[in-house]
Amino acid sequence: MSARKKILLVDDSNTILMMERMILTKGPYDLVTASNGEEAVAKALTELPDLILMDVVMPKMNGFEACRRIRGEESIGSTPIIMVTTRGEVQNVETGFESGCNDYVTKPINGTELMAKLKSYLGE
Amino acid sequence: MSNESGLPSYVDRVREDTQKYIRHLMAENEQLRVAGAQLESETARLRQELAAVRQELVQHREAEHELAQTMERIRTEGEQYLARYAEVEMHNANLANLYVTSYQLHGTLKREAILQSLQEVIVNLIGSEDFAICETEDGALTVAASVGVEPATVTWATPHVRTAAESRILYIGPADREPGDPLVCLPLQVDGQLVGMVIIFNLLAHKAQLEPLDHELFDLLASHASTALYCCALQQRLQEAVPAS
Repeated sequence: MSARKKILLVDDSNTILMMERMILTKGPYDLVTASNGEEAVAKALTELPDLILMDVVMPKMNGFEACRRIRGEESIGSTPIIMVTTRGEVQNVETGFESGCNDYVTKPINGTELMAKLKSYLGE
Repeated sequence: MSNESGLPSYVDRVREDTQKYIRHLMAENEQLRVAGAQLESETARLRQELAAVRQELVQHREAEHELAQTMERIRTEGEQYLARYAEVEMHNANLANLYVTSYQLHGTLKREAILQSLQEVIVNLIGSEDFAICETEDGALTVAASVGVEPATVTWATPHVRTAAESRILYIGPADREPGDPLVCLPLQVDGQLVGMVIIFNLLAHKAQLEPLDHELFDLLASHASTALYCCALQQRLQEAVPAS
């Protein structure tokens, strides 16, 4: 039996957090949430999640900056980060990869696509 | 017969050798006859075995054909189950979207929170960052919230807005519409009374077109968003009418 994985959900939208929770509670995951980039970095350091699902546009600190900060932390630097973005344009995606994210999904979130990517990064 | 010296004559020796040779030939002939009989018997046995093997081969081919048919049936069934699973998953996701939308809209009586939820639903579930949420009161159309749209540009003169408002029927524009024309005009109504309008001008770049779920979301928004806004307005009027104790 595999251990439960912990996923940090980061989004300032309650709607999207609720959607993500509804999708992910079908899997064996413990879910932790944060509503901006600053909180995401702090929660990542204390909760040590196995994967982070990060929105891009957020108050206080955006997803790209939070991603860069997390990559700079030794204890959580290698945690897979999947960006959730409304913009699938090349430039936006490139910025995401430059900031250190591993992958991205676009809104509206497709549950099947999201689960497939999570499983892939969680080695399931 | 002996010659005068008492030794067998040449003829006797030839006769004796011939007889020996004949006996040898007869023995060899007998051996060959036996060997021939054995070969015939072996041939008959092998023929029988060959026939049995051929029969077995036919049976194996039939079994193989049946197995192939079974595998094909199982594969088809597997594909049908997968398609059904995907369909159920999609249905599940759609229900989740509708549930989230309804939950978010009715989770508060604060106008700003309802408008915020409505915006989040349009951005995150429908997939647009180019829309306006309008309210109608005393024949006026007011933009209550907008994303990617200059509020002043949204008026009754905006194409299809007045028609949709008067007919109370959802308007969905064609993909090849004029620039600036709305893609969606969704009248928000309570008991047939128009309370507002959601006007979507464009979808996100990576979303090519509206999907079946979007139509269900429009149906839900048309009643639930309007009810939520209406309840919020009632609450506000009530608070204004009843002085705080």
